[in-house]
Amino acid sequence: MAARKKVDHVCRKCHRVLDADKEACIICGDSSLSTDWQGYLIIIDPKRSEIAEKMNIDLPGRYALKVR
Amino acid sequence: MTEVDNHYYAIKTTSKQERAVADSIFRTIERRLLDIKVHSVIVPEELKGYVIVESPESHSRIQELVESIPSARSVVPGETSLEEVQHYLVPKPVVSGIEEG
Ligand SMILES: [Zn+2]
Repeated sequence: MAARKKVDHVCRKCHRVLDADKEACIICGDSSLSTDWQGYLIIIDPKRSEIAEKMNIDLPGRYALKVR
Repeated sequence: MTEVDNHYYAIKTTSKQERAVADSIFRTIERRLLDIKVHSVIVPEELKGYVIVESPESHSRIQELVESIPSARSVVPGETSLEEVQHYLVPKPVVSGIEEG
């Protein structure tokens, strides 16, 4: 795919998906970011989501399932 | 966590629009454009052309949601289970800072 828009970065530590212009994670502050990630997860209501519980996520937002 | 009755529905999407559909569901729920509850949206890499929503709502309510989301086509009849969805999750470790290997 040649004409792909800028790839979002993912924090290697907490798996949060960040906008392409971010240089560090907005949640944990870690600057180890990756563009090589797969699977996508959006947590809307962490208190009621069993998926959030399984993934140890307590903040709403966008996450990657797999990060390299 | 309190006892919740969550359902898991698979939504068929236009090819390669899985993430766009997930984002658009997120926006719709967050801005309360519809009175429908969705707790999470899962887009497994392995599952091309589908997203999974975790929701306490009925199948017909999710169908209503799908009708307002561009590139979302239909709700797959029936439900999927948490067990099935879990196969697509790769849990990150609770303790961070430990090197693998
Ligand atoms: Zn982070």
